[in-house]
Amino acid sequence: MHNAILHFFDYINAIVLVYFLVTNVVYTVLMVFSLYSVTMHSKSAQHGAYADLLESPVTPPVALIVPAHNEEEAIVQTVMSLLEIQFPEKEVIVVDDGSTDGTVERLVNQFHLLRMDLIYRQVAPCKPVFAFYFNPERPDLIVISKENGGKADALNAGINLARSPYFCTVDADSIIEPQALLRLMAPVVESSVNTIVSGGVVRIANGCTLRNGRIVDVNLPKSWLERCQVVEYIRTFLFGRPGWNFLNATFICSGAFCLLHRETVLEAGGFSTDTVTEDIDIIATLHRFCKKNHRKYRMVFTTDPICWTEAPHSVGMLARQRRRWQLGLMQTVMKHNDMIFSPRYGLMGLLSMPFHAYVEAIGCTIEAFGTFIIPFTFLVGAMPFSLFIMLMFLAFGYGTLLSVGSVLLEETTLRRYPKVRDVFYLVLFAMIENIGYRQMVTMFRAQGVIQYFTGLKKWELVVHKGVEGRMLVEDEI
Amino acid sequence: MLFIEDLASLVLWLLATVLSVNLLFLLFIFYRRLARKRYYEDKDSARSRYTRVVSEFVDNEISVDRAVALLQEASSRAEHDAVQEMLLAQEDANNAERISQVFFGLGYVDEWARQAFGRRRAKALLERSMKREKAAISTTVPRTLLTPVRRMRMFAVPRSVALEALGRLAPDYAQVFVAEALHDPASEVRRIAIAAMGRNRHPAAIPLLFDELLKAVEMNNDVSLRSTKSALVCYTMEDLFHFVPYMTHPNRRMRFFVVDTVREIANKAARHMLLNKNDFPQELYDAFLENAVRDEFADVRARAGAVIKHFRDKRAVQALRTLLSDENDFVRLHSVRACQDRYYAELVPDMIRRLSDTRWRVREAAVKALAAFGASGSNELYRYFVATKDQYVSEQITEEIQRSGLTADIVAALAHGGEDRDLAMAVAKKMVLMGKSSLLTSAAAGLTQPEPRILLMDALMLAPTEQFLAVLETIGQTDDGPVGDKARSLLQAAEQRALAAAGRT
Repeated sequence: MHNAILHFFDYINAIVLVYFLVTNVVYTVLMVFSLYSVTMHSKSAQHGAYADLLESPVTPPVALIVPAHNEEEAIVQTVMSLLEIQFPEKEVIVVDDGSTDGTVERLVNQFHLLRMDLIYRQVAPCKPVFAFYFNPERPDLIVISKENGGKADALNAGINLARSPYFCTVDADSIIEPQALLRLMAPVVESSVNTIVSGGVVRIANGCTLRNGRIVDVNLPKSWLERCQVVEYIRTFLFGRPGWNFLNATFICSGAFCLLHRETVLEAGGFSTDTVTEDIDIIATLHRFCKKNHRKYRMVFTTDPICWTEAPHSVGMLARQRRRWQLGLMQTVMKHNDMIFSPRYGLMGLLSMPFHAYVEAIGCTIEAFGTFIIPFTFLVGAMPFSLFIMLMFLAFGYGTLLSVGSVLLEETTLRRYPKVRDVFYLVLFAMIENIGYRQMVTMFRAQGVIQYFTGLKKWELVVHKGVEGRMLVEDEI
Repeated sequence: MLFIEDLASLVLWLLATVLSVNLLFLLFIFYRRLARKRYYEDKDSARSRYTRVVSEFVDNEISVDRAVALLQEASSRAEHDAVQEMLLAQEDANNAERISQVFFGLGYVDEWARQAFGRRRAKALLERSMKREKAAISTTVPRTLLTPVRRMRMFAVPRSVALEALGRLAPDYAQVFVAEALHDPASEVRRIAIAAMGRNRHPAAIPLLFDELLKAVEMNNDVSLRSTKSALVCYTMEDLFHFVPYMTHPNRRMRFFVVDTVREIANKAARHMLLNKNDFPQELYDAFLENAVRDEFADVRARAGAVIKHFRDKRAVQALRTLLSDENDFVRLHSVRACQDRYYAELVPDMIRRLSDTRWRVREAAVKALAAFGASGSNELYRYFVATKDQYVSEQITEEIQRSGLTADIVAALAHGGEDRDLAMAVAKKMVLMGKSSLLTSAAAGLTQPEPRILLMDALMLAPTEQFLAVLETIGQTDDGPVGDKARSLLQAAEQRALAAAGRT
């Protein structure tokens, strides 16, 4: 019996070890690719003629679609920032997804909108639309009021009304940098192949100063939780995604700020409501649709277009957010599981999908399990010291290398944190977030996986303090 | 056990390595910070040192040779960059040549050319550039063993940056470099060259750009069609003469892009002045009216209308009339859009016919075009709206009435009386019966004049919505005058109607 238990622990430890090895090897490879592509992009940006793009009549129009549900605190600031965005031709479509607060009233009062009965043709499926609000003197803004149906449903309503060939999804609590949309559009204009997705970087706005819908002073947030999230976002957006993009196997583009080709999305059936992360699902759906129909297409991820968003400020909210992301990831990989290891989908099917399914989606349970089982097996004498050290090193030590590396990449390319003190804290938190924070997030993710297997489908609401409330007003600057 | 101990020491070594690498990263981060700080300090000091020289040079107070002698002292990278940026910031069409000569004199052009083309080619190109030679027409990319390597971004990006600087020289000097760059294997470098050609608008670049466009049309170019078209669109009305030969290109998509580029150029010019046929080269004018309107490719005909509208003469009217009744809906759509100009008032009956077009986009465009004609156009539109039984046409007209703010005119017409009032009332009634009453309800709620308010209330009563009944209730409670009386009587009528309906069921 004793031997059987020891053997069981051996197997478990071997699985955890293999998981850590695979994860770290893949991350290292991605790090190399990212380092190359981000550095090259940063150098190319020296000759990025965004002013030409702004003046060119050839630049395609874009519809900025903002799904909003009970966002009365932030919606006016967000819309103002979107209307200020530098772009030759844009339409801002706010989709009020059955809000029970004063989201619509705020917009109507601020922009002097009038209720109208406009033509609406439902191509992508969505819940019934109640009303349209429009101001003939401000023709670049439309508000749609509809029955609550979730973010994907709201996006579908938005793309049904949009007239531009491209649309950009924007979260209602996000602030977009003035040149960000131009930078997102640049690879689309420059590509000789139809670019159906162009994703950008999302940054954490906590601690920054906002004035008239723009971030005017970039600072690190004060709390350790938010600082750890800043490091995590930098690592994700500068290492993970550019790496997969380099391999032309993008699987995730943040829905907070992502440009998509309207016609292709409509042909693929629009956003799906059967997952809680419609942004991940649409990417997989588009890959599938284009490959099946032998379309030549491209998805790009650019590291300099910046969208600022508010991160959860408490452990409880962070837990909700991460559980939802993990649940959505699980739903997406399971929905598209026929793509896994399918050569028909190229590197997407052979590398990206398996990695996201087995390492990112399910793997977190192994990591979470390992966090408990490894110290336990070592303490009961079922694991040699050397193996224990090896696993600890893989779990903690190597992670710091990736995190500090991403801060280095940020510092050498984007340099969004001008203060030396902030950079020092970034490096410090890059080292310490691997001890404690990462394990905590892994637990939340594992809960998300459990939720999936227990059949939970609900959207866990993350309540923010609100962009206006968290940032200094003009007088305080 | 020995193995385990070895492994443990290995892990410790690995840990030490990771920590060292982290420390190295940290040191590098702070080194970068310091280096950048120093760079910007040097740049700022160079700026303050050379501002006077640059402004004196730009004001023509000192010669090119003198400026070169004074700016030669700038030797570090930061100083180079500062001088380059200051000169480029002051560059305009009048001083571009002198500024370029300073760049030649300071050796910057030589340095950029070496980075972009290598030492050997740079020397020859430099000589040709100084002689202001025009570039060869062929833009075929030669293939060598090194082509795949040269295509890599690692090597292409520095060439692109250097070419970007070369492209900023005066057009006569830059042309040789940007034309030569079209032979580069990397698409990024060629894209920079194409963008520079567009910015410089050198006539010699037009055939090269059309060559690139043709390659893109034939799917043989890794530089996008949009990039090349953007460059061509930068040209002005004066350059249109060079576009004429391509109007009869055997490739129909090529003809389409030529016509579309001319359209963009003309539209750009029309933002600043009212164009007429004399602003276009005679050959181009003839090519549009004789060939483009009869082109076998519908897309060419469609885009031709948008250029022809700028001609503003009898032939243009005739050509647009023909296009308005073209067999292809895309052509009709663009022709209707092209007629959104008061000069073409005689085409209003033709546009009215398009209100019953088989394609909704044409109908929509016709509605917008007629609305753009002011009161005469919108009255025609209202009459058609009241008379038509076509649901889709009616919907499109109501959409335009709402979106373009014509509702305010309708409400204003209700106050005036006469024929306009009758027409406005008929429009309001039809909109209500179609269920498009939100905006009229808001108007009824917000109006202060009693007469149009009562009329609107009568119209809205034809199909009362909950929103309207709520408005009536508010008016009934707050207004003691005739409007309040009307509201109360209408509410009573609505209640009786509801009771009668309940009784029937």
